Amino acid sequence: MIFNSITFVAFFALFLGLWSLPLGWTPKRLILLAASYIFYASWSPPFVLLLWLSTFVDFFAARWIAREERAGPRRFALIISLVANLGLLGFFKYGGFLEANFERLAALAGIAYHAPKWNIILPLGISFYTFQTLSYTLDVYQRRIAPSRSFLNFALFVTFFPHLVAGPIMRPRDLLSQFATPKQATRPMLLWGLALMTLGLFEKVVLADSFMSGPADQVFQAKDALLPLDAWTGVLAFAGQIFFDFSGYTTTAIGAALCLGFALPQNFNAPYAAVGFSDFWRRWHISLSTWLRDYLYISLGGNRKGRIRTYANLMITMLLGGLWHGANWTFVVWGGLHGLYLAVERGLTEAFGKRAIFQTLAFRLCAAALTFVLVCVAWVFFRATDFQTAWRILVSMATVPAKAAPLLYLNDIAPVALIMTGLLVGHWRLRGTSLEAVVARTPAAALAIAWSLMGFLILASQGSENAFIYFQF
Amino acid sequence: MPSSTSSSEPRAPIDGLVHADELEQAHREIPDRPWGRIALAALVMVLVMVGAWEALWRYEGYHPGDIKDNHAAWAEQRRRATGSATVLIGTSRNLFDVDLDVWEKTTGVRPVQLSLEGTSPRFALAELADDPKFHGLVIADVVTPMFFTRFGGRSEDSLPYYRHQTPSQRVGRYLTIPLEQAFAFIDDQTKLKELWRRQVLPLRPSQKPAFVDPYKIGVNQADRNSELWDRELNDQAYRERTIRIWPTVFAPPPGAPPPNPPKVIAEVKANVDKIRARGGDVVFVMHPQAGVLAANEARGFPRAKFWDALLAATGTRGVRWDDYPQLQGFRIPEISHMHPRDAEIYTARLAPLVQAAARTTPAN
Repeated sequence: MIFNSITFVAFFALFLGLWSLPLGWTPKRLILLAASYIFYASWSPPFVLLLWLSTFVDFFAARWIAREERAGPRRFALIISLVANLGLLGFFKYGGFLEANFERLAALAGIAYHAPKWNIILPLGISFYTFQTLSYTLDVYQRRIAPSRSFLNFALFVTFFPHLVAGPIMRPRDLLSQFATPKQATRPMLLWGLALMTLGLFEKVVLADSFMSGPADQVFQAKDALLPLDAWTGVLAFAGQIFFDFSGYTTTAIGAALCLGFALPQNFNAPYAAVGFSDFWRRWHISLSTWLRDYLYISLGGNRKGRIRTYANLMITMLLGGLWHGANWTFVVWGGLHGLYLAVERGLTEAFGKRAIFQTLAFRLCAAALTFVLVCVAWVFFRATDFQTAWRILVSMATVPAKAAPLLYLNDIAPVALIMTGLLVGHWRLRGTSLEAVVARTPAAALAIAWSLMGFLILASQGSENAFIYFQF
Repeated sequence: MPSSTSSSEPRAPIDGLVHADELEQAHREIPDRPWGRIALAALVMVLVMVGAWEALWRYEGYHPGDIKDNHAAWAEQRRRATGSATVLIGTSRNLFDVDLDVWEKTTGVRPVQLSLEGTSPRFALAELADDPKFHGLVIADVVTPMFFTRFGGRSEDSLPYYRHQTPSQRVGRYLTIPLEQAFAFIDDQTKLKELWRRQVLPLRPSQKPAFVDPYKIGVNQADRNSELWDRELNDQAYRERTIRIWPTVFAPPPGAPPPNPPKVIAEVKANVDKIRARGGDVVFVMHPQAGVLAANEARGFPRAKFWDALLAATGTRGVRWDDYPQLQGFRIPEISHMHPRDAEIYTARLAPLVQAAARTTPAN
């Protein structure tokens, strides 16, 4: 079930009704769990089994780890959890990729090996919920927390429908304890939650799907050489599309959770106003970047094992972060580019230290602009399905090919220019504050007008029923 | 969009560690605003705007009850095309020129409508041929330029949608129909994206004008019983725009290889044979057309080389409008599709001819 569908609207309205019934907390939690499974099964019922597998394995593995004092069995229980989760991920997400690469390697060695065609559907949200359940067993293993006493609470932690298929990737400290005590939204929570859901759907349906996806698709699917204006418009459109799509999903998820009385953490914080790449990764897909930092980068040794290892750890983390997004070398290159950006930034920081000029507005604006441009360059690899396409677009961004003809019309270019300008200015203004703080000082009449306009434009767009981009990851 | 949340550190552990269920709970800040009044005002404004939007589109000739003809509608009908069903496949001519109510009244059988705008029936024929549960009658319309140059076309994505349709999408279809029966503005042609795409803005240097499809041409019921939209009948400028666009739509796709009738016919014959082997049958029909479309087809796709060769090689019988006086003389306002009232009479005359042509007439 996707948020921008009439089915979800009906599901959520029905569920809100049930949630407001005067029932005990355990019956309510059972209703929430059942609703979450229905939410997931409405895409493909058989894959609920994988969700159950991940839930059972991690709940009992964590209990074993906590009970066991000996290092060997503790490690063995952790390995069971890792194998179950990463095994699922590997089989469903990377099986075909590994096979194709094995074929290519064999061909390089002169062996004509043709494996049977890998035709497995990727279960929705598997990258998100496997990382989430892994964080639980890892936290218990690393003695950060004791395991949950309640299977029901843990099952809800894994399955809670607002965040189930595309995050935020919840950590036990973010969510699990919220199921321990009764939750019911107050009227301001409910209405603010509905306002956030409207904002999220506006981002997805109106901005991402109605105005940004078309130019991005045209440019990335073009077979011929492009003029720089077309190439840049396509790349900027994708930069906008992926932000509005993913931020739209998480804003809707946060709003939906709030309507039920739960708090989900922020996943985006004005990322296109980032000054530098470490700043960018504190603002973009925050739940993934902190997961990778805490469970991968630090586990690899972080910055505690010398300069070379620090840079290597950084690069390994970002390469694997890239691969997390999809089974394609283009994602690895995207991650590698961000690893390179971070490494260069770290090197420059070490070389130049803190200087007064770095804090001037002019310098920070220039640094933010450079960061954004380089993020866009990396997006080319993220969006392109192969390296030929990525290379063609990069060349088109930098040169004027001899035989290129205009591709996009002003109907495509004008909205991208307008919306991206608004997005960049908006992010810059929101850099040091929060949406809540801005809303708290906005006149009520302006809020009502903005809310109604967004609602009307969603209805005038008639939804889109396009799945969110991050569903495929 | 940035927002804020806060969560404090875990409570001091008692036995070394805090249980996951007992960690300090996160909470989100709620902006201090009069949310009740804001929500009420927003709701009233949305209702006013939607009311005005609805009034605008009703004024433009849209009306409630015109159900979107999308992938979900096709998938629903595809599920009905099983057993001994009578199934219509083909282009928009089969869609608009055959009236399902009249066909049912004439033959006692309500056909399943699987024809699609701008789409050759060959993909649907292959799909039905490969379905072991189907052994009914297929009525495939032949618009020669499309049939012999495309396996599918504009709407062939309906098939993968049908194959991978999720339970959520199926429920969505049922939930949407009552809304479409109540609101005229729910239509693919009135989407914000579509309206913006139609705005005429200056072209860039050396840029050619974009190809534009005909705007809305048909209205549909929930089971895809469809007819030509009123505006194609009553608005001369609108109709003439459609007539200007048709030759481009019916021309083979740019860069397409020249038609290869033997290859296409061999593929079609294999599929016809599969259906016949299970006791079903296939009848080809050709509906009337007019103006430049008729002239182009006569010139570029001679009957002997295409239509006659298709029937001869597949061993099927066909019903071609210009072979029967009773199928001629109907109004074709925008040179491709029949006037809805004429389509009713045409259907009543066509159905018995198709039944006679069918080797077997499956029971419903």
